[in-house]
Amino acid sequence: MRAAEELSSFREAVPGCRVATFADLSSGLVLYTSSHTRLPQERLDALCAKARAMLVTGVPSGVAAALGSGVGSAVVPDDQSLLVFVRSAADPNEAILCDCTFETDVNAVIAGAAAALAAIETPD
Amino acid sequence: MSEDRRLRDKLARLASGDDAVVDGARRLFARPGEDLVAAILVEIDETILARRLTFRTEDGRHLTAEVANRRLLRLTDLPAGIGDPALSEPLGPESDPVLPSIIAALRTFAAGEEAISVETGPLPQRGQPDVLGRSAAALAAAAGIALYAASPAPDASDMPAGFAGDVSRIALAVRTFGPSSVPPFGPDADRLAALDDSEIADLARRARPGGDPAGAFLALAATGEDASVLFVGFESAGASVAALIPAREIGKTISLWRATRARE
Repeated sequence: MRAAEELSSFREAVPGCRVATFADLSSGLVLYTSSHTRLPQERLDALCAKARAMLVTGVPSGVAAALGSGVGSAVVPDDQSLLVFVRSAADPNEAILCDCTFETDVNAVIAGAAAALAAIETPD
Repeated sequence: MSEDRRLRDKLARLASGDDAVVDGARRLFARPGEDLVAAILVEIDETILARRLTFRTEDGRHLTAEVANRRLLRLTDLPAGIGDPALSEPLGPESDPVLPSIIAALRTFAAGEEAISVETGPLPQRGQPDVLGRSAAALAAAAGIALYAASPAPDASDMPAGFAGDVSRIALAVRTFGPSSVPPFGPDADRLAALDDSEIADLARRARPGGDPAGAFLALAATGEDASVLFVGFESAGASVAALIPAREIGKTISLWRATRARE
């Protein structure tokens, strides 16, 4: 359950981060979720689908040229949320997907998610 | 350098919140492609009353500049290992030979820092050296820095209106697509050269699948720490703005986009 604990610690440390999930982008499955309230599966599936569109679907060559590398994280608004997706440096198929308020410190989310991913993927 | 440019830069910083005072200090950031010495010199240039400006790094090192009439009177409290004590001598008109050493000391002080803080306090009359000091412009010339003209944005007459113009003040490169497209501009303009309309349309579909992308945006960050971020905002009628920004500016860019949309 270490992954679940790391995920919760990360989410609780970032004000405005309402939902944090640990997902396998290759299969489109959410493996762990941390949130105040129980979320319908459709919501989690939609979050994962959007993250796949941002992080997995081929990066246009002009985008790759601009960034000078692949896409490591993405931020996109939803109806009432700011969605932040952060890919694992160790395994690009794994990512933390967050649903945040628009006032959330995006840099704190990205840095916190990267640290949580590293902690989750570090062997005991 | 023009007073117009100086005022516009100051207004942009005020609007962005960069000039917010926290615990008595403000944070100074380097402009894209420049070091923090330019920010220090701008502080001197914006100080008219006699003041003691204390610049402080994250790890607590600090140095103090005694300033009046937009001129540096002298540096004091130089951290150990930076320059020699002669740098703390009051500056007069004959001080040209020492200016490069002062700039070198400032560069050493700010090297490796993402931001520094500045606290401002009064400089009592009795504490002021009886010297004319040297202007920020003279120091900038010694540093090879254009205090205001080196902003990545084009001059006002060329600057696109709205979000593109606003974000250009913090961006490495900006480009607009659609009916009134503007070619890439900014210090890293070439990095946006390969983006084309079809790729922007592709990104719009990803940001808002099956719907009108107007008002939506997305920000894609490169892998690695402190990497660049490509921000694309989708306006109406197929118009879009792409901006390449430093990673630390992502929150500010999103706020800027939302504020611009709220105004329109």
